[in-house]
Amino acid sequence: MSTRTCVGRIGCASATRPQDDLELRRLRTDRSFKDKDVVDIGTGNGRLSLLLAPIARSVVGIDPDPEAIRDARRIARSSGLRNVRFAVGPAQDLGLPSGTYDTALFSWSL
Amino acid sequence: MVDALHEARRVLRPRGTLIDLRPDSAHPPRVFRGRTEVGGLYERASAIGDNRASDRAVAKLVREGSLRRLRGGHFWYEMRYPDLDALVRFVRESRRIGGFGPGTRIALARDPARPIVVRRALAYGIYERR
Repeated sequence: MSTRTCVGRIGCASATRPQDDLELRRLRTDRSFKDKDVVDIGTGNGRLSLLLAPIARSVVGIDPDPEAIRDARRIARSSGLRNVRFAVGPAQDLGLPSGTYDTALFSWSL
Repeated sequence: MVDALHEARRVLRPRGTLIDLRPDSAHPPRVFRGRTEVGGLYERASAIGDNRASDRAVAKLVREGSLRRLRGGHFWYEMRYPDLDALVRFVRESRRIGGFGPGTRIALARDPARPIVVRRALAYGIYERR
């Protein structure tokens, strides 16, 4: 199974990553995400960004892989999520304004 | 990695939260048949090296006072494989896993068609922007 089989479902896992929102539950970081502005660095196909969107104020997912970002945007559109957006870019240059996010998440990306 | 952390810190508000979540090289994957542990998998040296480099990068920002560690730890999750062939395929294609630990493949080969569970550890660190 590759990550491509994951496309189209929120929170679906790749061959190596946990199912659904297990990471978020285990981290017990509700306070870090609820009604917060979140940047998900190395978002891949947006698996965690899409799970965070319903609880966060806003989520920006950034990844250098254009194909993964295309998948993430497609899932976000089909899910009707309005507070999440995705951008292609490297972790070293996020292209975001300074001092504007409450939480930065490196999930499998540092 | 240090550059990426500095960039994340730049976009965070003062006292914002930085979360680092990644595979835990200190706790290698364990292989189970049912409830019985039959062995483990080992990680490639490159993956372990990358993890250590990430640890050093985070430690540097903590040392220089850019981040303050709030808490950290690890937790386990399970990946299920229908049979030995499926696990062998995964190991062969994995960029992180290097192979089977001593005796593991032999133990699994005694009953290759049975499902296999691999327990993997994720390490996390939660930091406050200073």
